[in-house]
Amino acid sequence: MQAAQAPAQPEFKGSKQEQELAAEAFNVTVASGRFFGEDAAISVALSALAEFYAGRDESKSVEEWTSELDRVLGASDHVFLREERESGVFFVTTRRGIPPVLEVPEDTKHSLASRFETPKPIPADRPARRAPQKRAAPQYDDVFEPARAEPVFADEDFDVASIVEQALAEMDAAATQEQDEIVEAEAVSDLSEVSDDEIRVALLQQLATDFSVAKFGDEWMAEDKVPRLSRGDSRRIRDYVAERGEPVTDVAIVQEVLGIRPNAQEYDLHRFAVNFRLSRESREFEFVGLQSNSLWSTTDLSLLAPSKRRPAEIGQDYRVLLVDSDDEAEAGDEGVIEHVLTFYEHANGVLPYDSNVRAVLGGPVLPDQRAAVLRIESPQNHESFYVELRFPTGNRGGYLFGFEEFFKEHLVPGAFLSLERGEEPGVYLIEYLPVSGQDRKILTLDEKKHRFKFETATFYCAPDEDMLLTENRFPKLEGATPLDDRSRRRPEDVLAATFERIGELDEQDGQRRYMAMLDELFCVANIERPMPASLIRQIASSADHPAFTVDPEADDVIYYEPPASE
Amino acid sequence: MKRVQLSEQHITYLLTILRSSDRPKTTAELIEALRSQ
Repeated sequence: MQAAQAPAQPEFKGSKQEQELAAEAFNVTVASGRFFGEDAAISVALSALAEFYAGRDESKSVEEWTSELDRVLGASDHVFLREERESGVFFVTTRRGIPPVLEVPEDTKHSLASRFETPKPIPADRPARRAPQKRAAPQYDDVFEPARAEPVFADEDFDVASIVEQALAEMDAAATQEQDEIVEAEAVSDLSEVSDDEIRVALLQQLATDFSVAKFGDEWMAEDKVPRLSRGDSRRIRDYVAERGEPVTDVAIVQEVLGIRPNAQEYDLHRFAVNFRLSRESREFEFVGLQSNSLWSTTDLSLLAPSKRRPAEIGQDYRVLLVDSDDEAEAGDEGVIEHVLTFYEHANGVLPYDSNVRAVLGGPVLPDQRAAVLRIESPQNHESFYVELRFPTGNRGGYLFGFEEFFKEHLVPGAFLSLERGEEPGVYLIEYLPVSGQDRKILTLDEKKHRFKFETATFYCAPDEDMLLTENRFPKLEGATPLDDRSRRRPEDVLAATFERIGELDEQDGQRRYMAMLDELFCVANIERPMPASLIRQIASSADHPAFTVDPEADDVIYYEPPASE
Repeated sequence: MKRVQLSEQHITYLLTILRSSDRPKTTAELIEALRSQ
């Protein structure tokens, strides 16, 4: 059995009488807390002590005892702690005879609960909300350097850390923008003031993300009402595409594979089902159609022969198109694309997917659509062939490829051509202006010697004389070596090389300066890579490239002063 | 073009239309349905 420990007997201050009074008051106080822990605070009201003493010794009144005890106990502050509370004065001590240690509030500042409950402060350097910008002249600043997302491992300055930082910064910017966009959305109940385009965007934002809704192209259905394709159906569709050896339309699949007649009541439903369900089987099937023509291919079907230059490289070359991708379309009234073929396009069998072409062909039907297949017909030559439209991605421009044989057979760099929609969906007509045969010495690339040279060619298409690379106009191109890939990727390097190839050299006091016309630069720079005239003008007038200047009196005259070290 | 957000009633109405239809609806048809609601 454990005996209760006797309380300590501290020494008190003051006279002997005062010490005895304090010791007695201490004992009385401790007695009221005899079951407390040694360090637990035991408090007693001064008024209660005074009443206790007044009841025992009536020679003094309660007020006198109050005053006496307050003075005596207050003097022994090493034993008693005096507290003034709302209900009066209290003396606090412990069984050990020392004042209690005041309770230290628990630090909950970093507790899990407080972290969850306390909102994160708004950062001082919060990025400002992006204000809608009016479109200005195309800016090509970001195309002067190779794409960061496509590191060239041979480069000595390849830096993983900077690429990671860049990616993180882009992710942050995207998240901030997304957050701002969510905030900016205005809830509406009355649609009379809202345009169709605004509702269309709202539907894409709100309804297309609903799992119970099936959407394909411009059509919507309740997902559970869309018939499913069995494994057998998928296999038969795959076999059908392989057997045809070309992409097939949704109509062909519905009629030929699923055996549903066009006049059947559920025909539209099954056509939608084929499109929607196949779009979910991206491992096996790929949508390669356009808005007017749902076309399906399999992932292992290769339709076009590989080009000389890799598709990724061509896309990288056409990165310059990304900057003006929002420009107003300039296609003709009847949806005809008129174009003058450049050397680069002729050599690679490509055409740019710029705003003019987009106005005629349209954009991707699916958000993640990579490519579309178009059938090109040439009524003049009774030829038909497939080309592929590669849609722009993050850092690659869009382009059409597959024209290589047709261009080589019928056209020369500088030829006029037109492309327009045919009568059938997915079919486009290519035409050029036929003329009687011309024999001209025009620029070609000797691939064995890796040099440009002039060769006599006979052609039957009308050229734009300003874009024709003839020996008479550009004799210095004879024997020129194509630029290496690194220089070719940098438009300003291509422009500098173009000046040195065709510019008129003016040398004064040891300082060299080349002069050239914009149309000449445009024509020759495009033997290396796509270089829109607006890009050349942008480089020439940019303060970032002081070596190039535009003649203040003649817009189309551009100068280039090579750095002194060259 | 400003960004708008359709109300819950709008979305519910559209879902009802889609569930009661046996053929796909075009975006134009959905917009027309919202306007004539």
